[in-house]
Order: sequence, then C-alpha cells, then structure tokens
Amino acid sequence: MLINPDRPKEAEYTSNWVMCLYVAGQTPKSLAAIANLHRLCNKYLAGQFQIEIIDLLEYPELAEGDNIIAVPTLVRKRPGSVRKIIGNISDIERTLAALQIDAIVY
Amino acid sequence: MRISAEQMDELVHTLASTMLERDGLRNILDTMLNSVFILSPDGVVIHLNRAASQLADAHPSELVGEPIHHVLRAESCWWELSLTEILHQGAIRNREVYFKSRMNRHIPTLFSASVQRIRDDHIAGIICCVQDVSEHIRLREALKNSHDSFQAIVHKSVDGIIIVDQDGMVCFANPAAVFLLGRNSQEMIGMHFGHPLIVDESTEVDIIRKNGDVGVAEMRAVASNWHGQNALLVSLRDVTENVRLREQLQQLSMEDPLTGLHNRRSFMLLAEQEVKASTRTGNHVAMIFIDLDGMKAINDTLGHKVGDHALLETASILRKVFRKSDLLSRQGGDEFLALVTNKETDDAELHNTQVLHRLEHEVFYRNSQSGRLYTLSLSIGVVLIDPSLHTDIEYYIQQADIAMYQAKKNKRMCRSQ
Repeated sequence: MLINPDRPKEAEYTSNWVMCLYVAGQTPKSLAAIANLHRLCNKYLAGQFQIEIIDLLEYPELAEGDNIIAVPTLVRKRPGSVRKIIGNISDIERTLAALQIDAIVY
Repeated sequence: MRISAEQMDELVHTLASTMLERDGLRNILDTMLNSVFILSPDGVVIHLNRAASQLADAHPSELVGEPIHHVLRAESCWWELSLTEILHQGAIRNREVYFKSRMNRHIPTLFSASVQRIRDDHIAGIICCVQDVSEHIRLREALKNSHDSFQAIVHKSVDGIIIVDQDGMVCFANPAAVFLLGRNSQEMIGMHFGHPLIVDESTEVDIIRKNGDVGVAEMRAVASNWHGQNALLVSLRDVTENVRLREQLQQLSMEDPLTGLHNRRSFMLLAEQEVKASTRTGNHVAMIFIDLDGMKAINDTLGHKVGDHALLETASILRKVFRKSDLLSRQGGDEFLALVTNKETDDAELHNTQVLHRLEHEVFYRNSQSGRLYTLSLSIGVVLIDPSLHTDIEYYIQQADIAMYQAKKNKRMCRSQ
C-alpha cells in the first residue's frame, strides 16, 4: 500500500494511468476499497498504472485542496481530464464504466 | 379618379367583405383559437371571429359596429393610447392587457394589433389579435407555487441536497448540505464534487467536513435537470450517530461487557470455524476451561465490586498469557474459555504445558503483590480437540469442564491433606 503525502507533481507521473484513492482511516471499508482498486488495475491495466492512496485522517489538508467531500473517492488523473468518482468501487463493471477504462483501453 | 375619404372607407369595407367571403378567410378566422377583431381606422368593429365573440361574451351582431373599447373594456384610455402607438409604429405586439368582457369577466390577454394600409397614406383598417392567457397565467401561478413549495421543501429538508452538473460541479447546495459538510454555500457552489458511482441506489460514504471531522452519510443520486441541463440530484443523510450505535451494538453483541473478551455467542461461532479449519490445516487445537475459584465467597464477603475486579484481573492474566491469535472468552459468571491453536509443526503439548505454567506463575506473582483483599486461584481443564472424532464445540467444552472440575477436586484434596 502506498500512502503518499509527498505527492508526485503532474510531470513526475510515469504511467499512462494514474489513480488516486482517498480514504478516511484504515477501516475495513477503506482496506476493501484499496484492495478492489489494486485488483481492478492489475486485471485491466497491468503494467501501466500508478496508484496513490491518500488517508485523509493523516493528511486532512488534502481534502480541502483536492475538493474531497466524501470518501471513498477515486480520482483518475491520467489519461485525459481528471475524473472523480465517489462510492464503493467493489462493483467492477460500474467502476470500469465510470473510469471509462473500456473506452480508452480497448 | 379622386375619391373622398368616405368613399374610400366604403370601398375598404366592401373589399374586406369580398375578400373574407372569397378566400374563405371568415372560415379560417373562425377556426382560430385567438380572437381576431377587424376594425375600421377609427376603431369600430367591422368583423370578428368566433373566438372573439366568445371572449367578449356577446353575439357578433351585438359587437359589429361597436367601438373596440366598448367591446373590450380595460383601464381608461387604453384604446386611445394603444391607437396612438399603433398608428405611430404600425403595430404593437403582445401587450399584457386585462380586459373586462360584457359579462364582467376579467380576462388577462396578450393584445397585438397592426395597421392595414391600402396606400402608404391611407389606412384601410386595423387587425387586432387577442390571446386569452388566463390558462397560461393559472399554470404559471401553479408552477410558481409548485416551485416555491419545492424550494421550501428543499430549503427545510433535513437531508443535505446538492445538485451536480454533468462535469461533477456543484450547482446548488441546500442549507442542510451546507451544515452537514461544514462548508458555506459559496464554498460549495462550483466545487468539483465528482460523480457518484451508483445512481438510484443508496450507498454509505464517509463525509469529510471542512474542519477535518469525519461523519457517515447515506448518499443517493438520482438523474435530474438543472436549468435545462442534465444533472444529478444527490441527497446526503447524516447517519453518523446510527452507524456509531450500530457498531457499538455489533461490538456489544460480540463482547462480554465487563471484561471485553468474546462473549459465549461469538466464542462459539469463532471456535467452530477454527475447529473446522483445523481439519484442513492440520493445526492442533485445544480447549482450555478456566474457573475463578471462590468467586461466590469473594462476592458474598467483599461485595460485587471486588468480585468484578477479580474477574477483570483474571481477564487481564489471560490476555497476558495467551497469544493474540488465541480465542478468549468469558462464558458467564466465573467461567472462562480459551481456544488455543498450534501449528501442525509445533509441539502442541509442550506449548499447552508452558501456557499452564505461565498462568500459574502469573497468578502466583499477582497474589504476592499486596493491595487486594482476595487471593486469586484458577482451576484449569484442558482437552485436545480431535475434529476427526467430534466437531461439536459443546462436546469439547463439556470435556474441558470435567477436566477443570477434576483439577479443582485435586486441588481441594491437596489442600485438605
């Protein structure tokens, strides 16, 4: 798990897909969201993704800076414009559609 | 040929009548929903369609030849003022005029009129079109009332309501949303909220307030419309307290309230899983029954508060001696159970013996410390679980209980000798 307060700057991202998952604490809900994201990326974006996990209990200031109102929130930073989705990402189909992974990868 | 003004008017009347008849214009006018009045240049009704006679609440024969301001009565001088404008500009369009019909009905209308000229310098007549907008106004009022009611409902709703546009930006936030999220409405509007993953279903999300506090909300998004554009209406119900209570209840239902160890119910559930798993993993599992000796005497002579202290001390000893992976429970009263799991490769017998020694040592150590009124004594019974013979947890508890009683009896015998 990567909990990364020293966030890379936009230019430092090296992968095609950059996902940022915001959670609040190491709760079972947060851990499930993190595991789901890793599973999804490994399956559909193998070798071309970078994941950032931000725990807002540790870094509350990032909630304000990144306009995070509710968690879990998953932000697709790359490719394309920023896309922010809110809610439980256990539903792989819905998450793929919301992240437009089908449209971009295939 | 030079003709007089009177002759010209007569000619216009004749021409108008002829055209009305010839082109079937009369029929066309009668099918129109709007009221049409054809006036002479001085504002006298020459012709009117069926809708116009209905608007004026009179038979056409009563209206033809009447000045228009007698047919459609409104505030004083409305016609003089309108006529001046019509003649000056050539036409007026959609003026809101409240007319009074002959039956004294008040009719809101949109009044339009245009001058009809034969030659540039001669006015043949004026055509007026009057649209009854009573129904529109009624609907507009109803819509406004409904909009006001909607606003009132949204404003007073205890649920936070925010409207998010197609780009995920907040367009609207009601006071409850502002309160719930700890941000003012100016901060909320234009904020990038994002897209709820699930629409039309409720989902629980943690909400991050501006001050960093975390709450729990039930979020539900439904497709909506905001100023003609597709949008999502997101309602957020604060369920922080409910979730806290739910978790507490969940914990209470699993825990012994005094010692915080597993209660009987959760111990049985978890022990059953552990024993079943041991058939697959080959782990050695042992059931250990621990009884706090003399509990009744402690309660009777020193009171229940001291009795509770003795139980808490026993729980503390068990936590210290057993591993975190072992299951510890208070079954009720002065009885405790531990389910110890040793890996297939471990020397289970040795480990269990060590545990018993450590227990004995810890009790001895605590009794040697001054400061309490009772002496702690534990009776312990151990049985090894063999899932190939029995998987019923109750059976092993019973066996461990018997072993514990035997140990207690032996201890008494030792003491009495």
